[in-house]
Amino acid sequence: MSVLILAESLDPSADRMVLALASRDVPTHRLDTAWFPTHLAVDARLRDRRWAGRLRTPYRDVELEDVDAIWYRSPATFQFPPGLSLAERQHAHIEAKLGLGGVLLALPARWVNRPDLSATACYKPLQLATAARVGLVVADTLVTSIAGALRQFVTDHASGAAEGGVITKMFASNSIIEDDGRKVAFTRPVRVDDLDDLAGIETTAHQFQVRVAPKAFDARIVVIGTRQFGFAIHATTDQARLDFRRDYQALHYERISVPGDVAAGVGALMVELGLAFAAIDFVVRTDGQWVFIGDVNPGGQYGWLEADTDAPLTDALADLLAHGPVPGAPTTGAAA
Amino acid sequence: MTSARSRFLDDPVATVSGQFALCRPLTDPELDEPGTRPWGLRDLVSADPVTTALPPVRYDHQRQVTVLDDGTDRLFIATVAGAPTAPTTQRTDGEDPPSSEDWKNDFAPDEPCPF
Repeated sequence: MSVLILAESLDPSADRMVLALASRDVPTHRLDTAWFPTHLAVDARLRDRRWAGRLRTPYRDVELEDVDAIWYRSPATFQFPPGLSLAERQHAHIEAKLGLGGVLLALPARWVNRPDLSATACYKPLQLATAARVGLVVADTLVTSIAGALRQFVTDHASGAAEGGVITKMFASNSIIEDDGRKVAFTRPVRVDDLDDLAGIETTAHQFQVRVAPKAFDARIVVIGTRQFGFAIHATTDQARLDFRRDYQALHYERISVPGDVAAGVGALMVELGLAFAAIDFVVRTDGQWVFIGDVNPGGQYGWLEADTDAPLTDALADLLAHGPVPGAPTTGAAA
Repeated sequence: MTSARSRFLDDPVATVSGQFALCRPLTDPELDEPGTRPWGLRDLVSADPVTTALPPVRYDHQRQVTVLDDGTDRLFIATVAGAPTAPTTQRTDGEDPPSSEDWKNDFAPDEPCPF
């Protein structure tokens, strides 16, 4: 058996996983899809109802039939050699995705996580509706491209004594690359004067959510198979209390227990989404209520929490990859 | 002909299932005339530049880990123990962005990336 890690070359968490699996004497192959096709080749043939053959780099061969588990960490996209036109490059990208990606997806291996399920789970409205259905408390949320709907939502939440107004945040990646640099959209409050000029609301879908208050702290649950590790994220600045990604220097962390009802809901949510791993964010109110805010991260980071709290996340994940299975999560390449 | 493949690739709702490898190709489309910018793109802030430079490193294909490229081959993670992997970092090592980026937030399937 072997474990296949798909990750970028520079990834400390993947480094730690390689070492953790080595300490368990588990044969491990680490690849980055960015190496395809220049430094990574695929040679696969359909035999006996499954793909056989190998992935080949100048340094190693990965026998497809030996792969029992795959950690889909955060591989980069294919990098094609220079000299291709844009049309040729786009063609090559699509063919690589469907060809190499298709062979990998068809392997009867334990995926953590299967990339198609991981991608589907990234729909935040799907997360929110599923979370509500499995019994989690969910923040009131509006998805709209209509200015009047936002005004009504703000009005609806203007007078609640326990509410902190309305915030807006992205559905997907919170950054764009523009003017030769990366720009980031953090969670921010919708101000009264915002309502005077809502031009651009109609250009796409926007997400608005009641700001959960009074807030005690943010919480991240790192789910690894059936294990759940809870962390409180305490912020000391207003900006970080609104979006902890904004100022990591203003944070400190604490391992905490996940309440039984929340753990049960999170377990059901993972099963519904078909995930074996996720970092899931909540806001915890001062009355102890955990409120799901629509942040299931199938590719969530955990290394910084492990480093600060000594929680055995890498070991738990290594055990999952080495031994599985993942109760409730799909384990084969067959369509769910 | 509208093939299953083109539906798979073009479907505006379901195509994330096809995102393997996941990140969004970053191309250089010709800009249309400026129009109404999406409201959600107001108040963007520039990603902070990194405050501590990474040491020279290289990927060791035999050991399958990143090592210091200073002749010692020491493990990179031994030098960054305790360092977070989530904060935004953006190496300013003389290259033009975004190729010099080290963007380490939660992985998103549509993350803009060099193509």
